[in-house]
Amino acid sequence: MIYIDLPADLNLEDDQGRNIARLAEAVTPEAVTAEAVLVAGAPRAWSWAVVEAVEDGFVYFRQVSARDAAQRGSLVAPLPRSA
Amino acid sequence: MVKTRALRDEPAPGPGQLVLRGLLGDAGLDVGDLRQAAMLNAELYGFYGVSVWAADANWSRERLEATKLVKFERYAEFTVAGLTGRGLSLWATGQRPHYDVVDERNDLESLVTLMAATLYVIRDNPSVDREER
Repeated sequence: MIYIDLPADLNLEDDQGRNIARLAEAVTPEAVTAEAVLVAGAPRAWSWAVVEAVEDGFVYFRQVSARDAAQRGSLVAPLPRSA
Repeated sequence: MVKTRALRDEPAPGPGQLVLRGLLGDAGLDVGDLRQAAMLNAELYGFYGVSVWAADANWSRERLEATKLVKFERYAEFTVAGLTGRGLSLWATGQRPHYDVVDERNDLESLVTLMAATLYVIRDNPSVDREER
């Protein structure tokens, strides 16, 4: 089962070709900052992603390969914190 | 703050053109997913719209499967005529070949209901990229 950091619809692109998601829906919103590497999408459609910007409650990111993601940092995500 | 969405100045897609949307889950074209997509678009751009990809001479089905849809195991295939026949419109938004399916009345439930009621076919994506985490 895939652990999704940032739920997103990968069909949606902005005018720059970036994907977009709501920051509030991130598992760990405070970890979603520019250049962060995470898994974005849905259980049947997800991608490694690099955050480009966080603005007005929205996350703008680009899909990258696992290799690209690994070159940017650890692929081991922290465990989600319980409420 | 709502952003202005770029609309491309180009001819409307032809009635026979294919319109593809990647499926997020196992339930096929889920009404809840469509509603969430339209609501997010409204938060961003001020109108209810559902993101889709239109195939044409430059963006063949195969190219879309290997690029814009590469992370999707399955996708829904509509035609332009099927969508417009339900009273829906296709707005050329963002970068080609992205479009938004909209209800010109900007009615969320009409958009979702009409789109879900449009004839479509579910296709497996032979080019899906199943990266492991």
